[in-house]
Amino acid sequence: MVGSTVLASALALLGAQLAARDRAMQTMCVGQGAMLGVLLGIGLVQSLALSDYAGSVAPFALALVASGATYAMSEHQVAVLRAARNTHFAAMFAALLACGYLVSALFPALDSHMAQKYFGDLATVSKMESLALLFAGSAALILIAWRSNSVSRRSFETMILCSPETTLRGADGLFAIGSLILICLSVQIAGFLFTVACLFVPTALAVRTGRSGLRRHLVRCGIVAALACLVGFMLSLRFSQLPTVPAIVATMVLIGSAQRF
Amino acid sequence: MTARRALLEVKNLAYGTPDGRALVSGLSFTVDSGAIVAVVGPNGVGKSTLLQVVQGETAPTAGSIERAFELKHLRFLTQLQNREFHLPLTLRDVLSFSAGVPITDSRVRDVGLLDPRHLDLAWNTASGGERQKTLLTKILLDEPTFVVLDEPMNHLDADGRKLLRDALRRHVASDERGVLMVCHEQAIERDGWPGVVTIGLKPSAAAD
Repeated sequence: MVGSTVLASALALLGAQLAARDRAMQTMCVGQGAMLGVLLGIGLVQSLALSDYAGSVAPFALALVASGATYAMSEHQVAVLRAARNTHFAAMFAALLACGYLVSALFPALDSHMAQKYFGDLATVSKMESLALLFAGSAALILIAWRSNSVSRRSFETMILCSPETTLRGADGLFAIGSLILICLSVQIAGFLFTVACLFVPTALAVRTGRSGLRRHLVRCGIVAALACLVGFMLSLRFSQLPTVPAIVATMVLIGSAQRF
Repeated sequence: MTARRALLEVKNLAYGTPDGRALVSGLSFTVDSGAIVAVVGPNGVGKSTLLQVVQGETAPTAGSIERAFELKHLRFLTQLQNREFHLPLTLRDVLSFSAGVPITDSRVRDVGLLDPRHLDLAWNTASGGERQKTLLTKILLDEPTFVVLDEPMNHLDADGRKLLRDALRRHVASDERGVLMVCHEQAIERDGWPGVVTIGLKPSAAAD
């Protein structure tokens, strides 16, 4: 629970920056790309009866490859097509979603994993996976919080001053690669819904409070995500019929909306 | 009084659009320390492209550019994209993105464009003029050797344009600094910018 709570906060801070760079829809595609890699990895591991170690590493490695390829393709589209980027991202998302379902058809054993990977179940996360979430979440949280001013400056320059992002060089490259790793790990262990909700629900609701200030906004995003994760998780433990991640997302929406009052 | 020296020398410059259409040829001018140079001309003549060429972002097709400063001492303000930003920044947040020493009210007052009492306004609810003055202040707070501005008078009313003129004059008056900006001719004529060197760009057919 601690690992997913820290991860939720880190994702919320990352999501605020991705939304500021108008990358929400692109991130949905990247997350779906990671999902495709995870499903392919699980399918291969089960078909080839690989070891437990390979069972953990292969889906993550394939998630990185697939999400990296999705990121590169979407960047290329933005550069070449220039206009209406969200239309292309939406089309890409639909194609990746179809690919994910096709992969599940190739590996019938994936049936039982599909729903878990999309909607997540934090109650069944292993100790090792929880430690991985805690480690990656803490590292990302510290890094994004510590560099919040310079990351926000780049977001501002990109959107308002039209300063081009230097794709995979320097600080922009670190931001892109770090984001990919965190999203892949989160999709693999906590699921697609948890990842996307933690990325974008807190920041979308925090801007509706009407109060300005960069630090205040980022703190709100981090707290809402962490609090929702804790409360939602405890609710799902208390009421066994309540699935973990949807309970967390519903709590997040409630807490986030309550900020206005 | 220190002698003026050339900060930027443009000689017989020619450049065009990325798809190969010629824009300007045979352009020569110098920006000395202490000078404000305004390049004026109608829409589509290549004013903004000139600024990209000066910064080394677009290669010229002929001619040369000599800079007496490193590019890290150049600050560029593009035309303001007057749109909202997802993060709920205050004007003070935007100024805090400036490199170097912390932003204080007295430093903002010294630049002379913004009233420090307005720094807690939200970027998303500020007027176009306030946003433009904030971005100009952000650049001048960095105390760059060379400032490049694309249509800096956009969104500014008459008082704002006067404040800008005075701020740029103060900026180039100290140390060895220069300003190159592009704007429409009317903007210079309307407000009167004495001492500003004006260079007119003509459409490519005439230039060629």
